[in-house]
Amino acid sequence: MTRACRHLHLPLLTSLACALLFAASAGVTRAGPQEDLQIYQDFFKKRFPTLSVEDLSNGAYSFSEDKKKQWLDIMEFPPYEVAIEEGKTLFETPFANGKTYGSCLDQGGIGIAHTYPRFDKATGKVVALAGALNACRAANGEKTLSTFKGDLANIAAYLTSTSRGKPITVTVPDDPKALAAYEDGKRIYFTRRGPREFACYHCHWVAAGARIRGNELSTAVGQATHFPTYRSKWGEMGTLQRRYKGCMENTGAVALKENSDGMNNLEYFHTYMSNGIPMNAPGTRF
Amino acid sequence: MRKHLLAVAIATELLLSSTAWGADDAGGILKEAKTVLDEAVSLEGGWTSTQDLIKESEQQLQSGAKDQALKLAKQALAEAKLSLERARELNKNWSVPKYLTK
Repeated sequence: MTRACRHLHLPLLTSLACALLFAASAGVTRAGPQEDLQIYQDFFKKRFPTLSVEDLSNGAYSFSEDKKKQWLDIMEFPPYEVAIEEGKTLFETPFANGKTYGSCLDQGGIGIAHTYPRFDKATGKVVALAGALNACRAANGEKTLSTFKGDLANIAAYLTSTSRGKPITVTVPDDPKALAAYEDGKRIYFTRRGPREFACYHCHWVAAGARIRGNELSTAVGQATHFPTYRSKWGEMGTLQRRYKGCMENTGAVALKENSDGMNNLEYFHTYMSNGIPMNAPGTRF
Repeated sequence: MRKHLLAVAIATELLLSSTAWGADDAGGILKEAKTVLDEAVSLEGGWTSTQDLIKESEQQLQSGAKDQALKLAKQALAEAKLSLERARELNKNWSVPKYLTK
């Protein structure tokens, strides 16, 4: 019987009914991350039966033959190549104290990008890849940088290139704080915001494949696989959190702060739903 | 009827005089608009249009266009209050759509 029911001091029969009610509601609303993942990926398998989950990692280009062709043309000489090279150089350049970014990351940072964001047991918080790089800078006495763009986005481009093709493997460990972070990300994802009262899900589930002006909307599952991405609109690399900022502002909402708990939790939840889909980053988008 | 109207007018006057700013004090209204907007932002419910109104009002105030500054400040405060109210409501009532639950 639930603790809540016991605290109400109800007669036995009423208490049993109360417990059943709580159990039933728990079954409906308290699905765990693994159940969520199944439901989310099945939704798109049913909705777009001709698309593979790998197709979903190509984002909106899976819905327009013409744009896919243009995109593939661009991919012959991907604009992110320069960022990968610059990112590699930055990644390998020692800090003033002689240490490098690799000293802060598992496997020296190589081939691990597909496992981010991660839950950090020591702090009880979620860390995204660019945030982990920034934390490394701070730990080594260096000035922190933007986690949206610039050097850290370029380093992230290099690191994700070493994970390309590996299935996204974000884990929610059996820790109440990890689950709380995941659930917080879910809350942010499904909460309406801004004067137009749009939530993330309004555009990227039932409306996926439809158009907003001239642009097709991509599916929620698969989006996280191709970030950081070189966006022609930006003229440079940007992280997934930079894209969130753009989306939020498009709805008229003041965006959450970069590398904040909210942004990290949102990225945690959102990336988790792409688990199993090969990493397709860095990416290129119009 | 007249007595009722008079009572409402007096109550309104008292309410206004009890705030830190007067009804024609753009600077004071802006200050309150910022405070309310900050609260909405802390609830992840701030609106960019309110930020724009505040910025525009400040610019008008600096250039000496007091009437325009006041008009914009009042608009900003009204928007900030609305965004805060909506943020509280939306945060309480979010849910995963039925097609994404069992």
